[in-house]
Amino acid sequence: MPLVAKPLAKFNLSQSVILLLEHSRAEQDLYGQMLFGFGGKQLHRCQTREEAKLVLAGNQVDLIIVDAQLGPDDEDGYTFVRELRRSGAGFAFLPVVMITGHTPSSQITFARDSGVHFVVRKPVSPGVLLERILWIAQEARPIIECETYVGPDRRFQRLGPPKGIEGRRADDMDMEVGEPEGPDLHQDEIDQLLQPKRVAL
Amino acid sequence: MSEVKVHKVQYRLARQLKSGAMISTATALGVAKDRVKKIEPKVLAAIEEEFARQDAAFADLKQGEAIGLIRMYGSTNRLLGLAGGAHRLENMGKAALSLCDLLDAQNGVVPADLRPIRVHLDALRILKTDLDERDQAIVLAGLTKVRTHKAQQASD
Repeated sequence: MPLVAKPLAKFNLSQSVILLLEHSRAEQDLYGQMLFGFGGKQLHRCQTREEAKLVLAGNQVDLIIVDAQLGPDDEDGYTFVRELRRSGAGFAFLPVVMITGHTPSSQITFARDSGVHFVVRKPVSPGVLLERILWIAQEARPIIECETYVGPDRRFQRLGPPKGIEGRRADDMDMEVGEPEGPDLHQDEIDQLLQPKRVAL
Repeated sequence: MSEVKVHKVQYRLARQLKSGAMISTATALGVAKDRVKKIEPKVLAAIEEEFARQDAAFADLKQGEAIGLIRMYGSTNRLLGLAGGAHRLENMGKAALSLCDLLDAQNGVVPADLRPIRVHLDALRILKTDLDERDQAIVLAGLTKVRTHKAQQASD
């Protein structure tokens, strides 16, 4: 199931300032070429978390792309995102796309729980990277801030609270459907709602 | 229960993407692929550098030094990223993933038998060449066999 209803067919990345935090120079070049190809013009390349923090402090950044694995003498990308989200600064809630290499499911959960918007697995293709950037344009998830997590709402499928647990949100719906409020629909009316067909009048 | 704040955010990026002179996704992808193709020689050179790092890490492993596992895992992860630099490197990327799985399963312990790792290192080099697809598939199937055998040994 796609996360966005309808992907953008056209876009403009030339006004956006992008921060790329990637330890490997060769990978920086690779992702940089993709971003310039998408029309990006303002790209800050950083190799370490400290460099990235300086860029964030002195520039208005619109998108962060970060590798989960940074250099041997640096913390990882997850730590960077967690610190960013907890910074309390104006840039704390910026959209973040994380690039990961070897990805056991525990690492995906780790990335999600660090507060990133989307995770892209290596090797990164231009198509997948662009798709994730454009998804952010249609991103409707609020940022959740609590004791254990700061980041985009991880529950993007609104299935209601788990059975037997009271919802914590004003818009959480009860799992119980309740009594019908009008006459039941006939099966053909239901079919019509789900699968509209052309009719000859 | 801890306090939960819900922030409705509007990203500047979202506004920017939908305003000004726009290009189609097809055009953007075409340009991006062309630009990536132009730096292919640079990517291939970087891959060679990672091969050299892997060899150094393998020498550490031969000495029984566990740091070799960390170094090799880091280098193989970078190889995985570089595999995005050309379509023909897709299978090299798969071999890199396979090696990452193998190294990850070691849980920081240097294996007594280093042959499965050596086979992967050789396979990575072979898959970087212009080998035809049928032969590439044979190499990948060989790696799967090695990993299965290794997993079987571990469970016995």
